[in-house]
Amino acid sequence: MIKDITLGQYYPVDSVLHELDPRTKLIAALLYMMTLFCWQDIRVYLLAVLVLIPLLFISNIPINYQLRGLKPVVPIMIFTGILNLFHEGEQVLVSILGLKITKEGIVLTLYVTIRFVLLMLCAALLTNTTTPTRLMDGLESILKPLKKIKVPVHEMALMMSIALRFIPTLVEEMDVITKAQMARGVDFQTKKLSKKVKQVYAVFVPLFLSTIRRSRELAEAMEARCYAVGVERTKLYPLKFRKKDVMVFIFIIIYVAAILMMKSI
Amino acid sequence: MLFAKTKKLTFDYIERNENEEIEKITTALNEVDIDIEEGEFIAILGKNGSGKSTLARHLNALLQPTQGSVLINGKDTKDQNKILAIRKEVSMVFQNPDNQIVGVTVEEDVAFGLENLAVESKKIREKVDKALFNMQLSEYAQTAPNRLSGGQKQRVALAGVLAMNTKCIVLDEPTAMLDPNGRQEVMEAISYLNQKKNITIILITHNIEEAMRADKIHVMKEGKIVLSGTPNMILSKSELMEEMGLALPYAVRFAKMFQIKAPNLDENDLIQYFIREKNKNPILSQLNALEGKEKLKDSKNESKVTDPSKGLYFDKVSFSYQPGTGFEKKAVKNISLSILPGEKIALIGQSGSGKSTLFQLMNGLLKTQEGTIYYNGEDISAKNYPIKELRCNIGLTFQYPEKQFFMDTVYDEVAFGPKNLGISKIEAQKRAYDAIEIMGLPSDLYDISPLHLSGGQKRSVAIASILAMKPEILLLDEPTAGLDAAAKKQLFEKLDMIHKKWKKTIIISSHNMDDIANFADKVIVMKQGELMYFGDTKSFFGNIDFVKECGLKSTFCVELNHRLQEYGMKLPKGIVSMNDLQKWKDEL
Repeated sequence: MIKDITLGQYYPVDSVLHELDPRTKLIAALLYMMTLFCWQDIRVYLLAVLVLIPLLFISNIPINYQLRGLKPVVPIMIFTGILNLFHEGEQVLVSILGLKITKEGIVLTLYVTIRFVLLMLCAALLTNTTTPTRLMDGLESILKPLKKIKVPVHEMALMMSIALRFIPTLVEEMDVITKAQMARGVDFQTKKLSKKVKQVYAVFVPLFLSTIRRSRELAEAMEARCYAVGVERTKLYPLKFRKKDVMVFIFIIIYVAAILMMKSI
Repeated sequence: MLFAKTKKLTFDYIERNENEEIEKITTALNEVDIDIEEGEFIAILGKNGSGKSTLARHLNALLQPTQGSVLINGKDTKDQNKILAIRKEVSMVFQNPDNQIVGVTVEEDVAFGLENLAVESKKIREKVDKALFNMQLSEYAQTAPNRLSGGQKQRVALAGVLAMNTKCIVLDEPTAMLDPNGRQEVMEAISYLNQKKNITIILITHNIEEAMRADKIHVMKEGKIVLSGTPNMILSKSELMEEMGLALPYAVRFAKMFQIKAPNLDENDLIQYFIREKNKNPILSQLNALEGKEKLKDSKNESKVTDPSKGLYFDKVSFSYQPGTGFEKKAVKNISLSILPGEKIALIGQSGSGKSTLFQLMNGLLKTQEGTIYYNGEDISAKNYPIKELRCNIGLTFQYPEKQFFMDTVYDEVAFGPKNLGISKIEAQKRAYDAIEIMGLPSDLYDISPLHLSGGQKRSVAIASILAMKPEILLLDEPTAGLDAAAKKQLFEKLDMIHKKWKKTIIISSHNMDDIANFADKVIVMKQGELMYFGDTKSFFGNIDFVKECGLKSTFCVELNHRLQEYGMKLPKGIVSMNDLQKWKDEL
C-alpha cells in the first residue's frame, strides 16, 4: 500500500532543526539550492557538502533513513549521468561504437550527480523535519504580501493541507475501486488502447464522484465548525521567530557570500 | 430551561433545470415542532429519507427554513449575524468519519474549530489537551487520522466540538459506518458528554436500540414528527415501528413473540420479567422445567478436507502486506480450509481480523505468499492458470459496492462485467437481464442512472453486476452495511433464493451475529489473521466462552440463555437464532 511510503515524510523526533521556524527553513533551503546552480566549481560543491553533512546529523533522523530517500531517483541519476559522460570535449578517453567518453564528460557527470544528491537531501531534510501543516503555515506567511494584490494565500494554503490530509484516503479508495473493477473482469494488463481508455473510465469516474461527495461533506463539516472565508484565524502552533532563527540567517548569509566570492578568487 | 425550539419548521428541496426553472419540489420537513430542554438527550428516529438529517442541519444553521423558524437559545437561525454564535453553541458530528476530519494530525483537527474562532494559541493548546484527555485520545495527539479506527475517528470529531465548549451536539447517524466495537465506543462517549459534561445531545439514528439511551424520542416519517415520547412509550408502539421499516431490538421481538406485556426495554428487563412471572406464564414455566447446564457441541475446528478436487481449498495459506519492509503486516496466517460447492457460509471476526484479505485471496486479487489455493483441484497461483476466468467463477463484491458505479444506466452497469468476458453481445445482454431479474429490480429502472436508486436498490444492482458474470461462488463483503431493516430482509431473501434455486455457493461477511445465525450453515471465524473455527454455525454460537475468546458476541438468544442460567432457567436446547425461537414457539 502506497499509504505507508514514508520517503520525504515528516519524521517525528526532537532536534534543533525540527524546532526552527518553518519560514527560516524554507528560505534557507531555497538559498542553499540556488547556490548549487551558481557556477560549476569543485570548491562550491565541496563547501556545500561540508555544510550539509553536519545538518543531516543534527536532525537526529537516522542517516540511512535519509539516504533511502534517494533510492527512487537513482535510475534518473544513472540515466542523466550516462548521457553526460558523452558530453562534447577535447580529451577523448574511450571511444565505444563512435561514442566518445571525454574527460569533460566525466567531470560534468560528477558535478551533476553531486548537485542532484545535494538537492534531494536538502529537500528531504526540509520535509523530514517539518510537518506539512507547518510547511504550509510558513509558506502562507512568506507569501502574505501577495494578499495585497488579492491572491487568496490563506485559502490556498488550507487547500494544500487538506489535499495532503486526503492523499492516503484517496489512494486507499483507488486501490479498492481498482480491485472491484478487476473482480468485474477488467484486465489491467491489456495493451489494446480502446480497452485501456475504458479502464481509466472504470476507475476514475467512481473516484471522481466520490471525491466530489467527500468535498461537499467536508465543506459542510468545516462550516459547522465555524469556518468562514476571509475571517482572521489563529494557530495551534503559531510561528515564532527566535534567536536560533536569527543565527541560521546569519549563517546562511555568510555561506551565500562565500559562494558568491568564489568566482572572483 | 428551553434550549432549542422549532416552530412549524418546513423545508423544501428545490431542483432546477439548466434554465433555472423549478423542476421539482420535495418537501423534506413539514411543520415540525420540537422543544429541546437544556441538558436533555433527544433521539430523532426514522428511516432513510424521513427528513431527519435535514432537521439536524437546521439546528446549527447549515440550512435555513423555507417556512417557520428555528430558535437556538432565543436566536433565530435566519438571522445572518447570529449564525456564528449559534454554531458556537450547537455543533455537529456527521456520519462519515473520514469526511469531517480536516487536520493532518489528531490534535490539529481538534484545534480546527478554535482556530476558526481566533482563540489565542495558548488557550487552544489547553483546550485541545483537555478535550483529547476527556475523549481518551491523548496518546494519539500526533497520529495521522487515517491510522485510526472508525470509532476513534468519531471520537476525534467529538473532541473537536468538545474543545469549543459547545452546549449541544447534533449527531447525524454517527455510528452507521462503524463496527460493533466502534458503535459502543461512540455511544459511551455520547452518554459521558451528556451526563458528565451536561451537554445537550440530539442523536439522529435509525437504530432503535441506540435511541433507547435518550430521555425522549421523536419519530419521523415523511418529513413529519409522527410520535414523541419516552423510550418506553415509543416501544409500546412496536407495530408502528415495524410498519415504518425500523428494526425492533431483539428483546422486544422476543417479548412480542411470546406476548409478554411488560416494560420490555432490553435483556435485563426481560430477565427480571422471567424471574417475576415464571410461574404464571405457561410458556415461561416450561423454561423453568429445563434444569441443569448443558453445552452445545464444543468443537474447535471440525473442518476436514473431504475432497480437494471440488470447490475451493486453502492449504496452509499466509499473506502479508508489504512483506520484507519495516511495515510488514501479517494479515492471514497459515490458513487451511475447504469450501465445497453449494455451501452457505459466513465469514466473521473483528475489524482487521483478515476477512477482506481472505476474500481477495479467494478470487485471486491477492496472491498467496505461502501455501497454495486450489480451485476445483487446480493451483490458482500456477503460472498458466487463467486468473481472469477464476475471478469470474468466484465473484466478489466489496463493502459499499455502489461506490464503483460509473455507467449511465442500470443495465449498462450490470452488463459491464459480462462484456469484459469476451462472450457474444447477445449472450452478455441476456446475462445482464437475467441478473437484474434475479435481484428483483422492476423493469422501469433499467434505463435510469444507478446513482438515482435507493440504498437497497443500489446494493441489488451491485450484486447483479457480479451475478451477471455467472459465478459459481459468490463472495459478499458486508453486503448489508448501511441498509435499513426492510432492505436487509429483502437482500437475505434474495441470497437464500440464489443459493437454493441457482445452486451457488455463498460466503458473506457481517458484524451482525443474529443475521448470520439465521442465514449461514457454517461459519469461518478469524482473529488477528488466524483461523479460529470453521464449522457448524450453531455449534459455534452455542459455545459462548469460545465466541468471547474470538472477540465476538454470540446471538441474542444464546446470550440471553446464558444469563437465564444464572437464575436456574434456560431456553430449550439448540435455540441459537431468532428463526430457531420462532420454530420452537410454533411447535408449542
